[in-house]
Amino acid sequence: MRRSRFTWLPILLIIALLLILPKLVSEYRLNLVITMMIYSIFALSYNMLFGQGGLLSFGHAAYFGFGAYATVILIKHFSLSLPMGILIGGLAGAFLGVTFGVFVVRMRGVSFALLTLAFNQLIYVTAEKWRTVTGGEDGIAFMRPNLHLGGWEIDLWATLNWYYFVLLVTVICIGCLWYLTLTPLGRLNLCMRENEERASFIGFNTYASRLLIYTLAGFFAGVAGGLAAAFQEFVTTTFINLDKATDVLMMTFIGGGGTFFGPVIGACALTLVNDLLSSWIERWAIVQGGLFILLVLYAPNGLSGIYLSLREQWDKRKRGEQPS
Amino acid sequence: MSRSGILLDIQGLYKDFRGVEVINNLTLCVRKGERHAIIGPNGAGKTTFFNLITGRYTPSRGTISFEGRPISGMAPHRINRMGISRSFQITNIFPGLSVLENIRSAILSKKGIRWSFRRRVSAMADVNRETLDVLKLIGLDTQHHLLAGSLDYGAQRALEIGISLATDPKMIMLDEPTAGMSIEETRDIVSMIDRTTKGKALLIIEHDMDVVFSLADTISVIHYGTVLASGPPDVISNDPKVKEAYLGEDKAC
Repeated sequence: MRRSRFTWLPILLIIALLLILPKLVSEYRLNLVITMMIYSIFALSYNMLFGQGGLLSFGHAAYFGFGAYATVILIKHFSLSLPMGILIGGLAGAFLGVTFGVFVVRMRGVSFALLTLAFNQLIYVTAEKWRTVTGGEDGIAFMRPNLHLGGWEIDLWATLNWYYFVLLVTVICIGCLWYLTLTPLGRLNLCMRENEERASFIGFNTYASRLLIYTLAGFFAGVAGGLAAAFQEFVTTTFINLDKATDVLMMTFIGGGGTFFGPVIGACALTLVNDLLSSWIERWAIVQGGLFILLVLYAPNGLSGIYLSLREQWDKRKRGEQPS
Repeated sequence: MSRSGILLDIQGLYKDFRGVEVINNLTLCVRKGERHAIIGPNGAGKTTFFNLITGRYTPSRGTISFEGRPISGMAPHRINRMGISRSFQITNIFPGLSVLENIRSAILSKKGIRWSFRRRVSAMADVNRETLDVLKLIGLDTQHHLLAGSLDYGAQRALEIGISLATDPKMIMLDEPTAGMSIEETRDIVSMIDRTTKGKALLIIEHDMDVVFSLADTISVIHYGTVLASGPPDVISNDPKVKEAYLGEDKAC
């Protein structure tokens, strides 16, 4: 119901701003925005499980990393185009999602969290040890291929072109994720968060539905991973490690899982804070951890939750002043 | 008795929990359109009996058939799709979603719209119209935008029944729908149940004998996990076994 207030205008304004952004900011800042967009997709895919589904996963980096490796390895060995490589990254994430999902979506609460963590570590250790394929800790470097559209060749190495490419993929992904929340499956996800047992007693196969949602979350995490690898022209075990798994949790939590765009705010905030603090303070991770603790204690619904409660208070005051 | 009119057929049902027999050789039939009340003292196994029919538990022994097809051991969602819908003794709704969404989810399920991606739910005119019809039927149409968890107790109980009704079952099972309600709330909900379940088979667990007599045409008394007596209300109320086992001990309601 809350979304009814949410008109298209702010979205169009933000997209317009993003379109003219290269005129406004430096290349360094543009790269920062690219990072924000990629992490936005990652955090939104995570929020399908966390905010919308009520499942706390500690292993979402597995799908991000698996997608990244798939994109890099396939582009390198089969000279795929970049869109195809990223799509395959998504499909790899979905494949891993359905494979692990068969086991994890049976679980709830602590068991779910621990099993996702265990599967994440499984993929992490595999990437670290299977050197012939993954390059171990050294990772794999590759060249971001150019984009061929009809007779045109677009140089994606140029930051400007690459920025627009990532923007396009991000808008498509976020659009799909948003639309998904409005479809029957997206509404069912909320029902299962609220009361999974009741959902099954009105005729929904909650296990299969959870599995499908888990797979879709894996797909979008894989797309984000593929994009991130193409951005850095490199993939290594840091794409799958626990830091990555907790980063996405933090982004979602900081932004707030209760609203659709909360995780986007979190992804932007964390990227920005990391960038600012890391140039000022050597041990910025401590500050980041401190901020996170403060949010958990005093704003459990994240930044978007703070915004919503402020708006509610504002509304109340306005109504109080001018009773109609 | 003719087998043709029988909707639900339960034969020799047993359920034990770690050696404790909660349901013990229970046999019971529900005909099409029958209004069947289940009564019995606390701990007699009434809710366990409901849980066995609706797939929350698997029977230890015995058969449950619905429209001639065995359903014992099936998953709850499959049993619901065959036409059995239930409400719960402890209010079991989607508290963080709007009242409208609570009912709409059941309507979507009934229509088999579960994983469709073609349209937004808000654009499905037929779904939303049917949702509104159910909301009017249970008297919550003016409160459709409120969060279900914020409703008062009586309204939550009505919503609970509304969710069960919205899947348009052939048989509806209500587990103590008036539990914890005031006299006025009870009167309202009973007339609502009577209105909304017309033509459907109704299986209702109830302690309040006024409610039982106003809704049911058949009463079965469950005692120690088995059916002690079954028949029309006037026969049951004069049955000496029933008086001794049930009415004698637990007349408080």
